[in-house]
Amino acid sequence: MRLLGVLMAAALLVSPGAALAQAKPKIGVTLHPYYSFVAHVVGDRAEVVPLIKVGFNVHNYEPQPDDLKRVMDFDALVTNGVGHDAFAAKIVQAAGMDGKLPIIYANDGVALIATAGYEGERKVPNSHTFVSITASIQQLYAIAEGLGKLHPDNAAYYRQNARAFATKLRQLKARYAQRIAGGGDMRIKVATIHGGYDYLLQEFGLEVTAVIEPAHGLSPSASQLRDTINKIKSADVNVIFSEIEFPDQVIDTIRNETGIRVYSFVHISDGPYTKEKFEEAIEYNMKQLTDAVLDVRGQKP
Amino acid sequence: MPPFPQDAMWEGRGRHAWTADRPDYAGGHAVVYLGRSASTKDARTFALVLAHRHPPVPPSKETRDPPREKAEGAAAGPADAFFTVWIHPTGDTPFPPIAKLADLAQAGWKEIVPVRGADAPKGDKK
Repeated sequence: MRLLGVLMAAALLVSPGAALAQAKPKIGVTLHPYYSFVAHVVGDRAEVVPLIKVGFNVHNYEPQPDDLKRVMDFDALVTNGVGHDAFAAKIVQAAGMDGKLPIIYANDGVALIATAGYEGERKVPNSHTFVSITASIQQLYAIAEGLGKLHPDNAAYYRQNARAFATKLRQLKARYAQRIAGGGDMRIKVATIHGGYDYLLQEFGLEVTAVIEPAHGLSPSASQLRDTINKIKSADVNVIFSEIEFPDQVIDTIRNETGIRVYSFVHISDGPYTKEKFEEAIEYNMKQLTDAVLDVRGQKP
Repeated sequence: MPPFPQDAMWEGRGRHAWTADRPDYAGGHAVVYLGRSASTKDARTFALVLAHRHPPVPPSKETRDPPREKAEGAAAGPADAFFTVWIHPTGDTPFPPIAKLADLAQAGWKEIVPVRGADAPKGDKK
């Protein structure tokens, strides 16, 4: 009995420490690409937790009770911080975590480009830095540095992971750049139906002439669409990049009215949060982009 | 890597000929990549400037073996950023000797300063 008592006392002494040693820090993320970035950076030394559930439109998101509970459990939160996840601030504030939760702004060091094609409106920075390779790599390193400051013991490990993933992404980009290198014209005029692809297109030397849809979740009205079709005709674009989620009728109307080829990108904001999501989606986008360039040049693979 | 390869994009955007130079730069080193366009009426001249200044070395025992971090931290200096991009409106401008980067502005160059995430207006950052 006495032995049992001693064992129990020992167990009481040991277990809190053991539990602490095993508890991994919880890193919150706001958007799908950041889930992938952080998952690559932290490896098995932290848990990555999405701040909001799948399936919401992040542009008009209102905090849910579950979000508040979740955010109070975070050790840090990684954000886009340039306009794509303003909902995070609302949640942090509503949970009373303002100033208590360390927030990593992944884009603080990233050079932003102005949103393209918004005629008659004030130019605003484009927040879609995560639909790219170069700006994503910069964010990856910013995340590794930010989390490394919070967990100094893991700083070297985080940096090493960021470097490994950055190398993989650079190689991926090189492979697609190679497809369109050294032959034919890159002066291809492009229209997109969403302003989210400027960073990716710029990396491959393409510029956006027109953006058809000014914001998420807004389908153009008949008169807007007519204006857009006229604009595309007068801008004389060679290719239109749509989104795979965008209504087919709109795209078909544009294709039929203008006779211009249409390719589709993914916005990296749907489906389950996974570590692989970013590289799968960005590779898909680079394939679409390079297919389109080869098509315009008459070199369709 | 753009803008250096002489591809179709290079041709379409002004056929810039790039040269590397190491101008005099007081108290440090600078490398300047100067891009001059073949068609000066359409495209302007670019200068990519990498500059670093050595920290003044204090006469102390640290001189023999200065801590690496300290040396790197001081090298960028408060005045001159390590990497800057400049543009000049006329195509045939030579790159001037500089004692500090601000001299470029005196010579009619304009620095291209990106808006970074930290500068961007954001409702969610205090």
